Amino acid sequence: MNFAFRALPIAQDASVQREIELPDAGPQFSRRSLLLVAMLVGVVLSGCTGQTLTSGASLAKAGQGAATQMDQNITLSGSSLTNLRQAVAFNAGFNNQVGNSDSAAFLVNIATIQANLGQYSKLLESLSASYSALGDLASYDAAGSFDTAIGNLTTDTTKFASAVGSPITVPSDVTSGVKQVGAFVIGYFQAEEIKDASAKIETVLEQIIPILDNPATRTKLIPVQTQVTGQINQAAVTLFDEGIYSYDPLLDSLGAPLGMKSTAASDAAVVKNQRVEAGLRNVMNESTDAQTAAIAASYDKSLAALKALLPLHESLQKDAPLNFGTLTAIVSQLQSLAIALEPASTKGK
Amino acid sequence: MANGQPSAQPTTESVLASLAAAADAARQAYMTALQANPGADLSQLYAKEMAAARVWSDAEVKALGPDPAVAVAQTSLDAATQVIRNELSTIKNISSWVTLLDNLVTLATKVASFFP
Repeated sequence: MNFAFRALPIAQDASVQREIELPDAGPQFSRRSLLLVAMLVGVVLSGCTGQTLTSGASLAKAGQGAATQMDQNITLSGSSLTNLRQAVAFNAGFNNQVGNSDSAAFLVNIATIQANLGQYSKLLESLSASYSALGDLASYDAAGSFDTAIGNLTTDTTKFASAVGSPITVPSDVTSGVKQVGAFVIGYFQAEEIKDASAKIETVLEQIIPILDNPATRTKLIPVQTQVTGQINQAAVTLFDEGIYSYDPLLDSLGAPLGMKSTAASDAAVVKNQRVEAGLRNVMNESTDAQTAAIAASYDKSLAALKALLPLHESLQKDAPLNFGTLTAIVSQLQSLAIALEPASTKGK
Repeated sequence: MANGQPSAQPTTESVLASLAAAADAARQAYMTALQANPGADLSQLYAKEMAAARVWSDAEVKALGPDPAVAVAQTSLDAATQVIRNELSTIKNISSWVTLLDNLVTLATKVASFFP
């Protein structure tokens, strides 16, 4: 509505019922009619606006929480690759192969995988920041903050896509800035800004998801479980055989539910009994297998969380109710996986 | 590739899985030799183990090319991997392991050449 209003006379006396003239050549309205229409429009707008602001704040909180949890899992996944690199370095040194070009190349390749995970982590940090800025937009009109955040998200998404060999071009309207309009009814336009910001995040999500869904990307980010487990366990077994490591912590963990613990003579008994040692190695394998399986599961759950965000954005933009059930369940699973990804030495601290 | 028959068009993932299985078999051979020969010099065997690991990791960061000949190479590699797995409980001799791993690394390198 872009009428050119003439100055409306303001009645000082409520008892005076004067007819007022509205836009040039326009119809005649009574003041009472005008007030009624204004109130009606106000009620409708404030109803939509209130719902959008509330939904925007809820989506921002849920999206930020999900992205932060995804980022934590990816960071922990990257840590396990650090353990792998340390194990390979030990195994090479133990076998007098420090200058081995294959070991060096293997470590470089693992570092590349780790760098790709790092770029994925940056992308998730930017996604979390974008949701945070969406929340600011819902609580107070902070379009500038959102424009910066979505710009960073676009940059990190583009870098990640290039790193995993799937270059993309993010549509220019994503970074063109949230549409700001002069405020006749400030809340109404703030709601429109939130919808616009939501659409921008959704556009980036729609570009990220197919890249992560591509099996080739998955193999570039998730090292084969047996490689991680095998190299780490090889170092551990070698160190036990050399009398450096002790199986006591593993034995104590195994016996804890039964109230049993190792003794000073346990390691000597293990060395003498190949079947016991084979059993303990299997327990060790199980532990590292669980950790590396959690890397793959975290990747899949993070992808599922990103997919679960899409319908929430669509609902927000249509003023429909938001159902957070699926996203909440996935984030809860990611939290459980994060516990499995934590190194045994830091659990419970 | 479990039945040993070459498929018409192996995927990147299936070929990577074959290379990873070969690298894992090489590592198991090293561990078997370590247990059977305490204190022995296993540097030659370790070098083969890492050669297999490197071949896998080289391919991991690349994309599979379109050459259909990879299917035949993959079948040969899978067969060599299976031979090693079958021998884990029998071979104790380090030189026998070195020979088997040498063949494995040669076949893995051929498969990896399809990742340009």
